[in-house]
Amino acid sequence: MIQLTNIDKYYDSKFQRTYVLKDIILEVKEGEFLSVMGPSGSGKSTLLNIIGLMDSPSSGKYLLDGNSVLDLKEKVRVDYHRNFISFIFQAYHLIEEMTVYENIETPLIYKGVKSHDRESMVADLLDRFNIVAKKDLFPQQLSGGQQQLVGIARAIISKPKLLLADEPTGNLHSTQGEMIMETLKELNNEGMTIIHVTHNEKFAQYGKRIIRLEDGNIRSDTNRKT
Amino acid sequence: MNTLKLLKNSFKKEKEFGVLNIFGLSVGMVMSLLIIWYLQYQTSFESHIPEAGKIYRLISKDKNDGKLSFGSPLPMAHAIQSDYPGDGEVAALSNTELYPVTLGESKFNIRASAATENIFKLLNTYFIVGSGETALTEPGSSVITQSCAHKLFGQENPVGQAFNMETYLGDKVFTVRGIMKDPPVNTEFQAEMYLSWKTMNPSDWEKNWWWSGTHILVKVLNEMQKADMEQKINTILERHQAPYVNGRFDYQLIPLKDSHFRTDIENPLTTPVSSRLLWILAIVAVFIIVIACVNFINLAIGQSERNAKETGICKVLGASRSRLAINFLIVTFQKALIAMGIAVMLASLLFGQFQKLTFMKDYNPFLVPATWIVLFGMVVLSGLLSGLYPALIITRPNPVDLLSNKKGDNRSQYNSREILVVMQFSIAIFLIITVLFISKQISFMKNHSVGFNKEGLVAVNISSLENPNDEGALQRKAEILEQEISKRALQNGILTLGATEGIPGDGFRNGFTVYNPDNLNSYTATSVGIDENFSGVIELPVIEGRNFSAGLASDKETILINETLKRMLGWSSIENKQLAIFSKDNKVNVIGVFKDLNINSLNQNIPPMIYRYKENAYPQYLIFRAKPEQISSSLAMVKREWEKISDGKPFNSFNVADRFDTMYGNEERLSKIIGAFCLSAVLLSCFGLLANIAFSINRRSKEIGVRKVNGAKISEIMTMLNNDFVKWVAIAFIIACPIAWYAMHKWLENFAYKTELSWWIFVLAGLLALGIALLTVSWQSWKAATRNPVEVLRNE
Repeated sequence: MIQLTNIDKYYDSKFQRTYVLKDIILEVKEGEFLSVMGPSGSGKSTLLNIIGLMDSPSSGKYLLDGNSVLDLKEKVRVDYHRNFISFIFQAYHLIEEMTVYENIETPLIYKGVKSHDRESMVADLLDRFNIVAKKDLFPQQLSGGQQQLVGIARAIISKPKLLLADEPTGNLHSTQGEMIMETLKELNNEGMTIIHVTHNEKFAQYGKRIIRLEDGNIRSDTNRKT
Repeated sequence: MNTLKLLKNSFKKEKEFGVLNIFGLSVGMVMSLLIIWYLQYQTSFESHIPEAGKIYRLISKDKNDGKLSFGSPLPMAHAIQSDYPGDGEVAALSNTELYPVTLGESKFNIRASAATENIFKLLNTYFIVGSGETALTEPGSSVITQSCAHKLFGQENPVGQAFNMETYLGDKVFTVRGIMKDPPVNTEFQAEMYLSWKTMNPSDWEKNWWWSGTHILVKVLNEMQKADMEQKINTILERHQAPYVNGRFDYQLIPLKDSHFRTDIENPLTTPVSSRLLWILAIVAVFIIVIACVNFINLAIGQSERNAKETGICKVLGASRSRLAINFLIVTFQKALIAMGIAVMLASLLFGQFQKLTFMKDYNPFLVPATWIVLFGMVVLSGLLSGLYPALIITRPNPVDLLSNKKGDNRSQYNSREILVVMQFSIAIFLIITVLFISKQISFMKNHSVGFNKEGLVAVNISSLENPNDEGALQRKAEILEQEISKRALQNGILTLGATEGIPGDGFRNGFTVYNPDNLNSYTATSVGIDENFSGVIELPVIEGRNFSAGLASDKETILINETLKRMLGWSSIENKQLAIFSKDNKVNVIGVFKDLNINSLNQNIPPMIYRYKENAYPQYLIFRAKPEQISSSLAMVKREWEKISDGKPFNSFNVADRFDTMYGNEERLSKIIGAFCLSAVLLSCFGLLANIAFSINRRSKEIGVRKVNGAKISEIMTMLNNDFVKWVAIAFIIACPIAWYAMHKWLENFAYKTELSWWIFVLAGLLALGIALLTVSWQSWKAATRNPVEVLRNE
């Protein structure tokens, strides 16, 4: 599904070129659960952003679902974000002025789903994550784990093929973190491709495949037998 | 050094906003500076005269039509003085006009007035050579200003020098008896030269009560004397059995310092300025500076949220709150000072234009101490206002809150911003509507039918053919000129030719009292002498009776009237009707009625008029209509003929349609002044909007990022951000419309002929404001919407 070939990402300053990613070659198949590990500054988030079409590489090739997705037009990129890729963040990034319900509903509005259908889709997810009672609360009124659940709900409501998670457990204590990882695992079992950035060894083990980044290079790439 | 570094850092952080912020404040300062200068200039008139408070000017009120005028009869000053032998001072002077002066080979045009010798004592004129008490007593004497002396005589000693001047009474020789200091710019007495009263007036001037063009100034000892004098003056016409004017006028004394603001009195020495306009401008100035300051604060707050983290770090590192507040104040003061520098530069650049627009003469505002007091006052005010508030707000929260990026509860702040933007836009929309309407009214007046056809009409002033030493010269020569032009009319494209005492659009000055012999009701009618061709030339139809006829000798003593006078008299027909003019016994036959025509600008209603035959009223102008393409060739021919008979007098002609248009100069000036304020109000409103959009984008940057990764298009983000502002402009529009409607309704009451208050102007103004607002906002919202969400959604 994802084919990265010779991806470089660098910044030019006056005297030198600083590489964030160097010569990354990576293929991710549909249905994989990939954990990306590495110390701070190793380029994990940049890699995720490039995969999520929020950043573009300095050089290299990127085929998503068989199509080259470099230098996309705004319209096409927005379409990918609406239908294909979703994100969850370490800091949840919920819209504070909106209730839980409205937060989850937002992507559907952009996608142009009818009000009636939206209602039932949001209701299904609230039900699935056991947060029906919380639907009229604002993000600040929830615990971190609950906020992240809302974040996941918002991410998957548009039924994306690819879910990108940038340290989703970084702000959570371990029990809540485990709950989130279980949820992700479940989603993966249902067929969703997930790429998950973390530097927590334990949570990385939820992935079926782990790659380790160091100074912009892939140091190791292991498939875990389950 | 350290403080400059603070400023530099602040610019680095704020980028274009720092510049915008300062520029916005500058615009506010420039506009209020210009207004303050204008107010200062206008209110300083005559303040150089030490006892100005005791000096009064005489004004007359016409009992027939209530019109006020500065003009008094020639013998009036003398009559007042003889009522107060010993105390009280009375001076008379004529209008200041341009007189041709010949000195050897050179010719000059000098602004001069005839004056009685007391004038210098009253106005406290400073004499460089000679003395004010004696300089004008001798016939043929004159007093000139320093710069006039320089203009006429160069380096020579002017005292005792003689020069030749063309006056109404023919050429006269004057001798310079004194040199005075140049008058200051802020006085109504702007003559370069004062001339002996006796020499400039006919020998029988003490009997010329009908000639009422004299300005009279009196200086009284106290209020009581003023009241007494006013009362006595009102009996003078009767006591002197003044012919023609007895019983027609009431007199009043008004303070000298007020006269500059009396736009309601005719025949002023210099153009007065309405005090209402000055008040409006003062309010506008206050508005502008407040809006500019509030903008400055708003932009500062909008930026300060961005700096919150840094402030938090400083606090954690041990900076005290006062230290931070002082730093903030230092930066704002420096910015205000820079803004002042820019404002001073801009204001001096614009001042030339502004002077022209407002008729301020060589006034140098930078020499007036008040200017600098005001300037520094504005710096302190805007520095404190704009610095203190954010300084306190930013530094208050706990460092933890600042660091953790909590935005706090700013709901109330947000409301006051909305109110500000709505207010600014209301003012902007109001001004846009006003400018559009004034332009519409001007073009309406220019294009409105004036009762005759003014296209292709040319007037030639022939009054200079008059010669006091050769009675009837004007009439004789005018006749020759007319015949010569008629002979050559056809091949030069002249269609018609006539003679008249006045030209519509050029002001008709003769007002006569007319009596209805049946009931002795009196009216002040504008009188004009014409020949039998006049109505044909200007295409003014006779709607009842007949025009003058050259063949009938009896026509010379008859008159025609206009529709308005007929209506006022209440006549159904003019058959066998008579009117008495000048006195109740001097009855003349009315032979016809002309259609009404606008002799003045359309501000004014058509006055009652009588048309007299040219023999009884000296024609001052020849008027002809030429084919449009042949106007210049016909003018050249008329000029050639003029030169044959005029003994070298200058040829003076004008296009009647053009002269009509110049009457709307006041309105055009007003529209330009309001236009300038409109522009700056719109500019300032845009700054206000920018501050707001920057603020709200700042607060919502995360939300925008989240929405984008969830599939919002750039256009959807922009719509979301712009929506609020559209709503505010709509509210501003709703507020501005009724106020503008009322103001324009009031303003249009000044005009006898008015354009409609059409709805499309309101809509147009609203759309303009909306367009401007959207452009301003979109610049920022586009930037926010196209920003890579990665930047704002970084892990925190």
